Amino acid sequence: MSESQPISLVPVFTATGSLTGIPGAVGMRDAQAATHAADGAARVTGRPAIVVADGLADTLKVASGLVTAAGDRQLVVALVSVDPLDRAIAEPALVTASRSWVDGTGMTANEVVGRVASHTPTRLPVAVLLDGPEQTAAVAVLLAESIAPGPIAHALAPVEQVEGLNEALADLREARRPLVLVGHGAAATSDPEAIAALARAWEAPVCLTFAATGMPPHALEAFIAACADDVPVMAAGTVPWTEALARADRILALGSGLSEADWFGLTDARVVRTPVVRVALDPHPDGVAEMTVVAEAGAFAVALREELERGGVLTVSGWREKFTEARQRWTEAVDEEAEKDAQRDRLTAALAMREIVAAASAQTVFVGEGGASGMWLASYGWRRPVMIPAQHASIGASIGMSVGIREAAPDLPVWAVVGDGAFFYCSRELAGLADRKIPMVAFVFADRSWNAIRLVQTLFFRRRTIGTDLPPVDYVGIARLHGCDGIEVRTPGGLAHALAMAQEAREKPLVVQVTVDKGSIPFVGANLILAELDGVLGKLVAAIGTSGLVAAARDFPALRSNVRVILGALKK
Amino acid sequence: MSRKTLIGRVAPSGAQRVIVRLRDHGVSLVISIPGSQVLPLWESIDRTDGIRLLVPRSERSGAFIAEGYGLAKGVPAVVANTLGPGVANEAVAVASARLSEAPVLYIAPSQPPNKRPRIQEVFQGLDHASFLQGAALEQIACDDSQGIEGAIDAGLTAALGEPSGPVRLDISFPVLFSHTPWRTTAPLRKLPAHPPIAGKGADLLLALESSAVTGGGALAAAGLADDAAIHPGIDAPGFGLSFALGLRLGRTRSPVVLVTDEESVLAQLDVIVVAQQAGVKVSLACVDPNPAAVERMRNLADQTGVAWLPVDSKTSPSQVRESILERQKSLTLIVG
Ligand SMILES: Cc1ncc(C[n+]2csc(CCOP(=O)(O)OP(=O)(O)O)c2C)c(N)n1
Repeated sequence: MSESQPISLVPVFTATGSLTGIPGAVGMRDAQAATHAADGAARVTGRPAIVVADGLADTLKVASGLVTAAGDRQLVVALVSVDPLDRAIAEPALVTASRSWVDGTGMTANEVVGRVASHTPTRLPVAVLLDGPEQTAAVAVLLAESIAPGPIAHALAPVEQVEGLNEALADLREARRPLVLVGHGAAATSDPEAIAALARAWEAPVCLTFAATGMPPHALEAFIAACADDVPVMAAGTVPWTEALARADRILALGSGLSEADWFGLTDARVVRTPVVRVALDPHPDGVAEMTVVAEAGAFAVALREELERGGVLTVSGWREKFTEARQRWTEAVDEEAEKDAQRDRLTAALAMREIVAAASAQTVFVGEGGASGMWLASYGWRRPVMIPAQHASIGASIGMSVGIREAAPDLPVWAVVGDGAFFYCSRELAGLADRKIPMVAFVFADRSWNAIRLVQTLFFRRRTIGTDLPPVDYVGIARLHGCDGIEVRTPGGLAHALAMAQEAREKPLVVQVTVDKGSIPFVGANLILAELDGVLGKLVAAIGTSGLVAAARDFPALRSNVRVILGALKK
Repeated sequence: MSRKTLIGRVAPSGAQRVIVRLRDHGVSLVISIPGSQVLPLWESIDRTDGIRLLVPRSERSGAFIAEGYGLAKGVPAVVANTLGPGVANEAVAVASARLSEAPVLYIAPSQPPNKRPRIQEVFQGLDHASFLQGAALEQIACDDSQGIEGAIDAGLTAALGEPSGPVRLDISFPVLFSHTPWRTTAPLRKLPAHPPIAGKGADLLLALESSAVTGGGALAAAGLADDAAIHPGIDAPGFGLSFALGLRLGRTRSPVVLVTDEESVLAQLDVIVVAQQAGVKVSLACVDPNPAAVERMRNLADQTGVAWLPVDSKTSPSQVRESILERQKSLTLIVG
């Protein structure tokens, strides 16, 4: 991990008035948004961030926010306290959400910090129940000081002693069409050179999970540089990514928090049918992977490369190169889609996203959501740091996450892409950004629809688009009520003007209402739709018929390839 | 629907049976943020007379609308958010309904049984029942389409029981999609009666953003100091507008007033949008003596299409009260 952006202090977020006195604590309006902020800070740094809250309402909001952080294994430490009478209400939510729990009541701050430190190497959020604001403040201060800047050390057994290692190495060595799947934790903290060198030696393409495309910016830069031109890196949800997963005969999955959607380990649509060997920091209790090796990803990559050097590589020739070409074709197709709209001078989601990504500086961090706008962002922005909740595809977190990203990495511009449906979840946090004169930019994709859901209705519910229309709302006016600047754009020319404003933004947040048609469908995300409907997909397709599905996709060129993937997966 | 009518026809979906049973029990409102897994419920609502869908702008807001609605009507509203992150966002509202004993039935699609042992690996996997175990009054699971009507009956009965409160019903989501013929349906039994909360005077329903935020000044200035006031079970700011909209939707006749503050209104602008979408007129009076605050609120009203009730130093509390009482069908916000 590069040291280019040392973090001197662990950021602390809170919405609880009695806790804003903690030195350096960022005061927010809402405790769930504060949890998303800590999540964002953890995503951008790859290191822990703290949220503090007191009282039942704020503690439960923290629990809600932790669900998203835990899904992507972000190192959020939540320090909360409730009245003893309310403990029975709050505790199950905290324990379930964080998956990693400390009862710190009655402990000294030192004891609590010791317990938290023993949890963090598993890369799960930790929820800590404390006695009240005083103890919380003491723990927060001590914790913020004691988590030293720099890479996280994994207190793990050396890779040679790991159980199942030889078996895993022997199996992987047999691969003729190998693939390396990299998850967020591995991408954020392991040595990218070691992973790239393995892929190179093994002649394997690399697939990133959705969460991994949101690895910290310095890690992403290092990762892409390490893979250079000869190791194709494919972004989650893109068509070449799916094809690689479907055709590989051995998959090495590096990551502790991988979900079924990350490798299509689904019941109905089983795209991946090959054994998956997973390398994780902790043994997964009920993994679907064929085999889990407990080891640090980089160290395992080195071990496997050494094994290959000894025993030779069996990869079929041209396997890896194929994906360099496929990725290129994909990039061109995505670009053409936007270009067609540019020629017609029509502002569509595709064109808007292409232009937004193009206008952002190289350092810009993008933040997105689980809706269609997030899928557009993933389609155009994947070589950039793009932070989108992956396992839960949550909506409504992006503005909160943006606050945390800004606070933890103040030199990086933050551009959020928000759906109009989800805009209000955290919109009040814009006021805090305005108060602190933070020039974050939020692009609200105003398609007047819960569009990702409308997409499912289009595909699987015979286009009956019940309930997914949204009324017109003046998001610019609302931005102004929160003390921000705002501008609405409806044409490519209008967007160009707004992007110039976004580049210039210095003193205040800017909300750009991008008014687009609801008819358009993004390119990536077929795997998420599959995962969401896993369990009923076979029946749904049988009911509408293959031709029905193809017909539904006909009007959406971008969707055709995804529907092919869906049908292909179901047939198997 | 009797068994007879099924012969020679495709059996209705599990979702359709859920909605029909709710409607037959007198439930007329389902509040839901979508996700693919709840879409069969939406389709069924669309097809069924006597029950309608309200789509709020966050799960949390929607769930607080349900709390107010259940209290005002004495019949539960049903909340049906998507699984995983949708249910995750319900926590504070479920706890609130527990504390206010508001009858609310939370229905959620759940991951099917075969996915539960590895729930953390499942896309949007969350163990709802363990997450909300402390907050919910009771939780019921339905994994089999034979049990749908029984589960709905049990859920509504528990929500209206002694004490009343939020009851959760997890239905394995493939059950909602499936068209399985079923054997028998228990006869519809009358649900326990639940008295709706009373208002005072001209049946005015007065709600407070929270007991702490709202000092007596605003109440006195609006002529409301003698009225009985309620607030959400969780006595914290940020939920009052949703709660009051729920009161409004649950009680169609009496005026509904919320005494709140500027920050809370700004934090809940979504509720104004949802109220308007639901055909509820929102009015706003600012009784803050500070002219700058009045100006800001006036601007907010203009911006959001909220009717402005002018109040100045010459307006007496009884005049403010009078103008509130005139607004029988409105949701009136008093900002102090
Ligand atoms: C907290 C949460 N609630 C619900 C969902 C289900 N969901 C996924 S996408 C989506 C629609 C989002 O609509 P909008 O914000 O307008 O974005 P768009 O898809 O139109 O770009 C919803 C409701 C979710 N993923 N997370």
